[in-house]
Amino acid sequence: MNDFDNHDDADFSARRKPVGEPIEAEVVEYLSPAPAFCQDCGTPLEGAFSCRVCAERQQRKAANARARPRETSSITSAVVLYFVLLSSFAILFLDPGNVNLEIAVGILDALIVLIWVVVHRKQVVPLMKLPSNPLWLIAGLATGIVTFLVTHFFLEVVSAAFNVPIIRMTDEYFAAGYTVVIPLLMIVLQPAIVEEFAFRGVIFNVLNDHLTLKEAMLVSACMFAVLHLSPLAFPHTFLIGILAVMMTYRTGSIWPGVLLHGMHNFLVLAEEVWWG
Amino acid sequence: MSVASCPHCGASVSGGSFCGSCGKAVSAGTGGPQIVTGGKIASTGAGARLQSEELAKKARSAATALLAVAILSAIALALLAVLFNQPDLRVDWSIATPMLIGQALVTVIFFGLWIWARQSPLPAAIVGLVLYVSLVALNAFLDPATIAHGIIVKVIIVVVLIRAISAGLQHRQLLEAHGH
Repeated sequence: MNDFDNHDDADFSARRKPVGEPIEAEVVEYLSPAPAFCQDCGTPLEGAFSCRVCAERQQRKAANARARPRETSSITSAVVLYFVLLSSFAILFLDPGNVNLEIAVGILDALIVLIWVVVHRKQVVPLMKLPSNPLWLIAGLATGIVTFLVTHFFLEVVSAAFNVPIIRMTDEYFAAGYTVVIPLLMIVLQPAIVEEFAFRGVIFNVLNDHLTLKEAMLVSACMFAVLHLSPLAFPHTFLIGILAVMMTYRTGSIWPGVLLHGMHNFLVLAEEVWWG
Repeated sequence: MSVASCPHCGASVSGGSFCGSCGKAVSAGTGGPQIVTGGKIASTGAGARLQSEELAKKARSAATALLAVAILSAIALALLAVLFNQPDLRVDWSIATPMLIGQALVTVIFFGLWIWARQSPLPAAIVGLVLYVSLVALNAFLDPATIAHGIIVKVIIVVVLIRAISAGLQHRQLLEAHGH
């Protein structure tokens, strides 16, 4: 005896339809019709059982997740770092020309950036490796020479055309009795390392989590140029910012940008000390 | 799964935000339409479209703020040029020329940011905020009395730019959450 035979005959006969009645009526009563619209987004299904729009959206979300595997960080962090560095410049206005104060502010800036590097270490530490192709280091140095020549030409033209004096940075150090070592540290080494870690290490990476790559490059370079608080320096600092961030992104290493920045600043110093 | 009937066509709806029969939006089952406020992001496609329009509109207000700064900067440039050309004023052109060049550059940059903000408000608002606050700070470092000049206008511009950045970020999060 099979299971069918175990049904209570009285109950079964009560639910059974009379002979001759079309069976479709019962099917319609118990099954809901196939949906004509996606219940998640309202798009017409056009004969399909699953929504093409939702499926494509899921694919794009998965692609976005693959493209941005890093942890996202708050954009506020980048903006706050910028304004903290800007505020440290304010200290210099308390006593303009005091090189000891400049050295103290340089050390303070280094500590500030170190704090941000520690906070964003997951994004910054991978940039500390050398580029896979060492030629990028030479390219960084060569680009620094090019940016110096462009800057030199631009400032000479502006100075000659509008009778604008070009500010010398080393005179105050020598007047205070320092040898060339301190200007080398404060004009060449400190900005090259501290500013590169701040703008290409932290700010660019944070912005890149929220903006497109081009936008992040442009915004970080603009912030770098504006921080120098000199309209005449804006064009060439913006150029250095763009080139350094492109090198950092292309190589995955911060060092080509550091060498670019360092070489540019070294040539500015060398022009003042040895060629000027 | 709770089964409800569509208020538009009467078909039974089991889950989802839209009726499978007529395609119209239905209540989420928690008491009618949801109000999406603060940092929350709309969960439905229709809600996301509405929220996206609202956030994009708020982000575009950055363009208005940047245009206002550009116009104010242009007026300041014109006033400086007129002032420096007064015949009875002895002007030190080694100071006046960099000031005029700097002011002209700032004007051009803010007009450029205004154009950029119409296409892409978020990055333009970030650069605009950074540049504007830096210029205000620079003036304040050189002459602390300038910080009180036009303080209400300065605060309004900064607030509009911060709100535009916030809206722009939320707009991008929304687009990303919905796979755009």
